Amino acid sequence: MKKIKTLASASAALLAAVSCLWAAPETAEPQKTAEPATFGEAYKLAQTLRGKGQKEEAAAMALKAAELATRPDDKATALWYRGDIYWNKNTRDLQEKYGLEALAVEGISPARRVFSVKDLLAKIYVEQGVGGLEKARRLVEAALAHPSMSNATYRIDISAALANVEFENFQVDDARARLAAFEGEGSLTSADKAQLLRARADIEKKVGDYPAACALLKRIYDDKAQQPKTRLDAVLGAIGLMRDDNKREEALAVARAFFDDSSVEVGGKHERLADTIVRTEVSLKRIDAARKAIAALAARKPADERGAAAIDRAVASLTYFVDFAEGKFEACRATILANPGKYRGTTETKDLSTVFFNRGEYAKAAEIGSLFWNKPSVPWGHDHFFRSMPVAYWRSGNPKGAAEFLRGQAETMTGVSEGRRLGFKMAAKFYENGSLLKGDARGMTSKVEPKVARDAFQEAAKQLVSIGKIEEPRMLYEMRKALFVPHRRNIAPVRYVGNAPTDVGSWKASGLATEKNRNVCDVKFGKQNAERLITDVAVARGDKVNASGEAEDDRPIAWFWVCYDEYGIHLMFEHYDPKFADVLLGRAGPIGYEMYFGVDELGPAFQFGINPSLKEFEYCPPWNSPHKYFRRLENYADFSTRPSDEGYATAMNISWALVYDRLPDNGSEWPFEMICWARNGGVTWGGTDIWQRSEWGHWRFEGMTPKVRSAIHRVLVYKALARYNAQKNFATGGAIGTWRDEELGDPAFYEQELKPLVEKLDAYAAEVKGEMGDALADRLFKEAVPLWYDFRYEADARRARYLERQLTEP
Amino acid sequence: MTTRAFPMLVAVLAALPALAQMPSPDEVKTVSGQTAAALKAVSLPRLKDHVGGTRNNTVARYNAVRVAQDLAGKDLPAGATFTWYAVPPLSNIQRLADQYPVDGKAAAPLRIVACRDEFEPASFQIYPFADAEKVVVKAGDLRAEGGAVIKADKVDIKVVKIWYQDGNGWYSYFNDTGLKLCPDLLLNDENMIRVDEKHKANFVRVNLKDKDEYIWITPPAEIDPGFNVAAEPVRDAPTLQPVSFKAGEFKQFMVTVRVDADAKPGLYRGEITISPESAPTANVPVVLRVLPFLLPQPKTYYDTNADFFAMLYCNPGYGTFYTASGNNAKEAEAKVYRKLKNQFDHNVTSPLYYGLWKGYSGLEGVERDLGIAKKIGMKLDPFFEAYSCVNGDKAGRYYEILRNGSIATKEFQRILGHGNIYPAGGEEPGPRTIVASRNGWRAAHELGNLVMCNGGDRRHYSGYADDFRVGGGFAEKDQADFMHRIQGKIGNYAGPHTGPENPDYMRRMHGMNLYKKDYDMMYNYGYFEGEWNDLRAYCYRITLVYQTRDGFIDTLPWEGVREGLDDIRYATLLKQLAERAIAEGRQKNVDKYYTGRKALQFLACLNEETCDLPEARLEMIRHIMAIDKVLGNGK
Repeated sequence: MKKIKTLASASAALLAAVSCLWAAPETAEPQKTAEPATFGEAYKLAQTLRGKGQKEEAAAMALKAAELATRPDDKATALWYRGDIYWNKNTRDLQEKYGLEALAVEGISPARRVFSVKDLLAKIYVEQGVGGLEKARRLVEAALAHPSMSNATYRIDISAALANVEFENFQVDDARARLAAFEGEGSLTSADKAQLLRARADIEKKVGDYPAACALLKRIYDDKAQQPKTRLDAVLGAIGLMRDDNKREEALAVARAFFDDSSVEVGGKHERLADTIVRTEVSLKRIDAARKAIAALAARKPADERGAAAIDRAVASLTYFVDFAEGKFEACRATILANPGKYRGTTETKDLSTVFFNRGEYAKAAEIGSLFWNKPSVPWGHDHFFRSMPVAYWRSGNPKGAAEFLRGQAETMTGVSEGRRLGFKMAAKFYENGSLLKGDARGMTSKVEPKVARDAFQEAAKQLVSIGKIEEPRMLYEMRKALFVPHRRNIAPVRYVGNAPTDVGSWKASGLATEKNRNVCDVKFGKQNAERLITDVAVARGDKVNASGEAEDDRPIAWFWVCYDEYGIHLMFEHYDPKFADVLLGRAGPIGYEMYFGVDELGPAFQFGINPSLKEFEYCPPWNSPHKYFRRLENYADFSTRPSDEGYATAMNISWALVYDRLPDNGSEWPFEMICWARNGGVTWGGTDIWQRSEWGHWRFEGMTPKVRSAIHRVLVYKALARYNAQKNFATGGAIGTWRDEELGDPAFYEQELKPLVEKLDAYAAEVKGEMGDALADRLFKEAVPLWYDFRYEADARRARYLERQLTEP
Repeated sequence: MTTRAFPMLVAVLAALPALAQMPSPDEVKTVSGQTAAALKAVSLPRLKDHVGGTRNNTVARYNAVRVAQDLAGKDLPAGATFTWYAVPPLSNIQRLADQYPVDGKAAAPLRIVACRDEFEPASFQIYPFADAEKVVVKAGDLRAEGGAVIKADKVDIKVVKIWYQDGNGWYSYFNDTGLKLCPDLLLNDENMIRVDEKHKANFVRVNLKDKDEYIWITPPAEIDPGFNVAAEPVRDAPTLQPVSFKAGEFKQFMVTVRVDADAKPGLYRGEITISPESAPTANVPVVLRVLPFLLPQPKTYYDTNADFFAMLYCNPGYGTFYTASGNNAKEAEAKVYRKLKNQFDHNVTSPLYYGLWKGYSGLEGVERDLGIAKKIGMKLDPFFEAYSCVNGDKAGRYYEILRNGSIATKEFQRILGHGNIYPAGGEEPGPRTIVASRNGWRAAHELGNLVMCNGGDRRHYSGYADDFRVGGGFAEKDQADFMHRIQGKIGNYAGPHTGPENPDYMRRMHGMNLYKKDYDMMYNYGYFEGEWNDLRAYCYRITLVYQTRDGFIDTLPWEGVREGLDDIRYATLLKQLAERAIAEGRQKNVDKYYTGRKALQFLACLNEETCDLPEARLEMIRHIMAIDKVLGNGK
């Protein structure tokens, strides 16, 4: 027994030493001596280098430590550490190699051997499937065969590790058998038996056989030869499994029996068991039984002061728990207020305060909640709670309390930026004075960095929005906004061009696509880029986004030109791709685009994606139901792509028919945005994220004279008439043809509702000539085109009214 | 390229909100010039006064003249201070306060056609000629000739609140940094939300114990601390409260009639009275045709025996409500009930609790939640996403799934009375996770369960084990075909996510668009995942309803979803009857045969992406009635 203890302690000591080395502050500066002289120095240096991310240097230093080591275990530790530096899925082979080298060091202690074997199993072989399992088995077999490994504790330890690898490879029976085989060994100590049973129970738990696991744990806690703590841990483990298995009565019985078993006395036993009993009873809604269990715990108060205090704490805590579960919030409040020091900073105060807040009892919320914040160690991450506290004070008519709270927060809260602290003070000023003047806010931030002011304005504004204030937050928002580079909305003039270019070749030949005329996308995509402080170095320097990531490469990444003619809008966009040679060879994919344009500021917008290697839109989502005032883009646009200088150029044509009912006037501005998914991050013409409509630039239509407008009308008259005439063809489902059909249509409906309309539209059609003057084109456009072009919608609307009347008029 | 620092309004006719349905500047000019003629033709003094007062506002004058033209020859009381327009309730048209209803009919009755067991909407817009406060809007009973009555409490009226949504409002679910006015909320108390057009801001009323307070809910995202309406006492009134009218501003009302399953078929008539404090009352006639059919639960287009499911991902439930109510179990349960009832009444009949099963420690919660769902009558067979079976390549996780699944199956069997459950196979898992989940999915299959999992097309690495793939993005027929060919099912979400306010669009995309593309499920995200402040949305503003302390506020798009699912129910009825007629007609009754086939032909030719949905609904009804006639059911 003594020997075993010694071995166990040696093992623990070794592990402690290793972990101590491991835990040494890795960021500490290495000693200034160029060459470490001892194993310890080299090992520590290796850790430091690893902490700095200098992996190769760290590995070399670990090797050096191994060379300097005078004891086998130190050498093995250094070699193991060398491997551990490569603990990464891509360098497992190195980790394994050096781990095995550590194991191969002559004369290592059994503890070191066990550590190395378990480490290889847990970090490498368990991840390698069947191959890993085989390696693990061979390694364990070899380790067990080593003369130094006769001790059962080590053998069980190492076998349990292997059983885990077997389990992870779904070899559950092998794992079970491997551990069960130890049962026959007569030399097992009580500790060995407990270790073995725990390992076996662990396998059963993982397999999901909780009763089997409980039975194994029962053998530990029933064994009076086991240490009391070992028995208690086994009991608690079994109770946890029983509860998870919905055997709460069984769990209670075991807990109560052990609670009353005076043969097992170990510190914390009654508190821990009572905790389990009370929580289980509460889960069964047996509040009285839970309170009885608390009383039983209180009666167990031992003579020693420390033990008695522990029991007192547990009783109070459980009483609070039961009160809270039962909804006795006033009792909880009384408990806390009776001893506020004890509860200061505990989550109980936060939770109870939240309950009162959500019940509209703001004074109580503030009273209890104030105990939570005033503890410097409270981690940040309770923003909502902390922001609700001033609200609670405010709504309970105590603005001074809110101010004090915020000033306290500013002083003691950990993990908060300087700006936010200043924001707390700024909001406190509001609560103190009943207002926050611009001069106050400016004065408080006059001597701080802009980024501190930015955070201060933001925090204070949030605080004041929370209590329903409007003017002060708006003022703070504007002050904050003034710190940033203003957002710009570009304007691209869209001019009328007779015989406008429609493909890349004609664009290139047109003389329109000049560097001077182009509209460049030079805004970095991403919301995080939206807010650039005026004082940022990059802003001050005028840095531009670039395609290759090379500082000297300041060529624009993407740009476009746009014009229109009587047929529609014509757009050409082009990009510079540093990998374009690879793209042409198929070794890299092309750079694509996402674009939008809107019809007027508030009208519908079209979104589309273009991949230059595709002949159709990569996507063109249906964001609206097609109807009288909206048509889908994909039916009204085409594009073609050609390689250009160092990237693709794409020409796109959008027919006026898409928007025939809302043609632009001279000076009309339509929102437009282009995002180019460049290799070094996306760039946009103006927006910072997808669908940031309020940031898009504008196309401004110029040269839309009455003459030009008439020319557009003329084209649309022909197109609309063709579309209307197609409605007459019953063979292809035209509405006019179909409604007249006796079998599939409704001639009565046709005669009553459609025929007059058709006659009117036919009369207009008779006016259409090969050469139409502007006046005629304008009149037909106004009077006939809407019905010609979307005859079907009109027919549908008439049909709906007709049927509705039939059904609702007797 | 020129640039400027601040956005500018569109130059031309800056007063015109540039919306799809807004008439051209030319038309505005033309109509405004017809003022004198319009005034001559109308006899209402208050309207004449009102038109006269619009000379400085082009749009207001245009609207007033159009209204005057519409009312010429109509018989309205001389002292009338307003009129109304019957308008399609779920239209593509944004009904803003200064938008003349191009598709409306002045002073016309509301016409409603409904089956039994259906909610059916109608709508009207008021055009006031004078300001009015405390106007009471109230529905009366609807009565049929034979004496049957649909009581007034089955006629729900809500005011459609126009408020600020982000710059993508109406058109997409994405977040933007700007705001614009958009019709959206259906409120009983229009004063619950205050809209400040001068500052472009929404405010919500918080009911504190001693006073009401309006909280700014549209601050820029950077300074919005997040407003928790669940914890803050925000409430709508239980019934429609008096409203105010402002001269020249259109105000829309949504009328929803509940036709119970036992309602008698026939033609019902009634009216909605609109009573200003000091002006004549107007009665808006309501005509309701109750069809003799019980609207069936929706089935798929490809198989009239296969259920079409509807559920919404994956809103908070009891736990969140409990905390927000100040740990009040009763209040939290009531809210869960209201949430599910609201969904059920909108045809979303399958509840979704992603990973409801949390082990025995959560059993009480499972029983409570499912008890509420059962009480409402929600569809729990099959039961979806009952537990999680994601991963499983590691033995520990595999056995955990096996154990959890086995217990969950047993417990759900006990609670629900069946073992037809689908565990969740993951949360948009990527290819690696799917492969790593093969064992987990296998475990579910070993337990006799089926796997449901959302995410993209995974036919190349997972199809065989996918029982119900819920695909993200816009629905595609070929994806449905693939799943059905391998004897699986398919649902859809994000095609689009919730968020767009356009009710016609939402109706289409949650209804016929999925149905005709052979989908088995609408499973969208989400119910109220978005917040009250669009500007605060991280990326998507995904919401169909707005949460209050004790309930949920409906919206136009949410009504659109209900109608979309009703469209599927009508199509289901049509198909069921058509199949019967065809089967019977094959026995030498060609009329029956043809009538059934014509109905199917109609449905087959219906373009789910472009059709006029109200017309399609009425056409379906026509076919249903025609088949019913040839089947002899009407006799």
